[in-house]
Amino acid sequence: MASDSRGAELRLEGITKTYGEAAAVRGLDLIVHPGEFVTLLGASGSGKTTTLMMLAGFTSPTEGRISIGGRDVTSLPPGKRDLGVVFQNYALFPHLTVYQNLAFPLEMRRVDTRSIAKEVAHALEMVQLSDKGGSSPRELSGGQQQRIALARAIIFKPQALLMDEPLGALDKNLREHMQVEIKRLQKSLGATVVFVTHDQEEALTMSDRIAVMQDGGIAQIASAREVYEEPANRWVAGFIGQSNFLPGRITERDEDAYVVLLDSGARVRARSKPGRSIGDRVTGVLRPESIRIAGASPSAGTTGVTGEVTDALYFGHTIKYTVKLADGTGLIAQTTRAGHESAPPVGTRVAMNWGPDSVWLVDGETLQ
Amino acid sequence: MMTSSLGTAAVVRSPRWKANPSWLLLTPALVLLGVFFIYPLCGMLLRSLVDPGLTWKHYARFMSDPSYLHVLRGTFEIAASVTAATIVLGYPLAYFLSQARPRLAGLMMILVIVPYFTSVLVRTYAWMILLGTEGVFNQLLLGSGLIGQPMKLMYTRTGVLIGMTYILLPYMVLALYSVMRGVDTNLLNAAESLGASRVRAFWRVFFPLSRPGLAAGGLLVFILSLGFFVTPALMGSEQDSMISMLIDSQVETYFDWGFASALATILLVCTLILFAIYERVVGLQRLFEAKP
Repeated sequence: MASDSRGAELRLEGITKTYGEAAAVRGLDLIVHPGEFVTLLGASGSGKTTTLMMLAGFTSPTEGRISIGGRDVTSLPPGKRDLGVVFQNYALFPHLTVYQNLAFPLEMRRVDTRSIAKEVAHALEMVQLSDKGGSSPRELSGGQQQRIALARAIIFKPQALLMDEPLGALDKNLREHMQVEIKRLQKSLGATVVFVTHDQEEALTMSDRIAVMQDGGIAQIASAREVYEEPANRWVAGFIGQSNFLPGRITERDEDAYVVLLDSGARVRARSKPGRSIGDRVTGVLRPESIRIAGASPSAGTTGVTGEVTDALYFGHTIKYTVKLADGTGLIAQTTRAGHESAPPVGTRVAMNWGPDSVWLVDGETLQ
Repeated sequence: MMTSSLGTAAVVRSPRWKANPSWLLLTPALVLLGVFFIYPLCGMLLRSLVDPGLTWKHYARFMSDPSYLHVLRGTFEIAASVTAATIVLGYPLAYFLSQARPRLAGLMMILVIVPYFTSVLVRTYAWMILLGTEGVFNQLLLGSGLIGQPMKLMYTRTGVLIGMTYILLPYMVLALYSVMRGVDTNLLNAAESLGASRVRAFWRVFFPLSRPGLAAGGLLVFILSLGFFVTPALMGSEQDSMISMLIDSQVETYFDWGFASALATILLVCTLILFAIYERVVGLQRLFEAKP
């Protein structure tokens, strides 16, 4: 497809959706730039699907404004919004053939039969299902149905693509394959994509930016790397990946880092967003894979703590240890394969250390 | 070699019903069907052909008298009209119910079914009161000045159609509703997102997917109409009788069991032919599928 189908900008301003007393989405602002892949990531009930449905026009917001490519579409029906939607269960028309499914959006736009034939053939080729035009959707495998649904959503060159957990029903291998395929397609089309998922790995691998949704709002919107390495708050850190939370108080600050006295008694170096001051209650976020388990005592020059191994879970490519510190808090440490040879058995005392930039600070608990 | 010896081993296994005793669960139903359906059916067939030796005379009588053929034709016409009327009235209702919230739909479904708690006889008498020359319907129309003469509704085909449509409508609604409820709302959303207006989404997606319901409801109502007795007997006329009334009069008035059996057999055969055509066009399987 030509590069003139570059995606449009999507803009949600002050969007609120209430059902009776309960608010599914409240005061949400989101700008998706042209050609950008943004994922709405959240648990069920976080408002991610409601947000997508409002963008698509299937439900209308109680308050706020939606615009696509600079045009206010808040009160436009879905058919006039010119958006491709891919549904979780694919929503292929079971009474039509694959060909007729792909032709549907073109017929609605009164494209002539000959152009339809050309476009459909092209789309089938693009998703590598050229021989399936005459099949019924029922005769296709899950992955094939998914590809047809995708082809149907982009065949009319919509301004943007909305995807509601499109890979939810596929098994793991197929899922990873489709992730790559969708990403490749999105890049080659330059399409704007809003992708809804509850699968954090999917969000991390596919997105330009991830909007982590919590209770009908966006808790953090940033690149995958930023969301993972510099979570905005404790909730985000806990939702994406596994984290150790180390409560403490700031005691010193140098140019680009803080020193925190942990409640367990250790003193560690930590990074943070600017603006914290000495004496603040904070929580250090430390990812399990940042922790190295060293010998029996901490080696000089690195930050670290000592504790006793209480649990070891073998995952093949990694081993996860639970290590109990002096004050009773448990730390989870994940070692890579390379560290397996010296794997300490349960019950041994070990020293753990981590790189100087491994601890990230979020606001401390206010209620305890 | 290995596979062939395995193959023979499989063949000498015990028969299916022994291996899987759940087939025994069918026994009560089969016995009931045999004693109370298959056996009397054969009896009826025999009676229509034996008097006391083998004879075609009952069938010859039916074929030779145009008034009997007229009754058969009338029966099919009435059944077709009732089917059409229940579709026209039932489809929008079933559509509304299928799109309504589950609670409201459940409540309204009860309203659809509630008339079944009363007997057909009572409901037919109620219509007779409503539609009579002095009935509520005529009184209202006369009173409002819309008509000058009372309309003749009782003992006409119109009256029979009104009564039968009323009684058979719930069958149509239930058949349509069960299929419509199974149509994925996402399909309509998808159609709309692909550029269809609501009306087009309905005709291009919802309606085709609801057709199995139309087929099931249509067949059900049509076949029930063919053998309908109470309503046409009470609300219809002698001149425009249905085949069930003819059978009734042969048994009750003329004690001609042979001819009555022949009439019943003809009705059965017509129904079966219809069934066969239906199977060819729509496919019986779709009748029993919950989803389109």
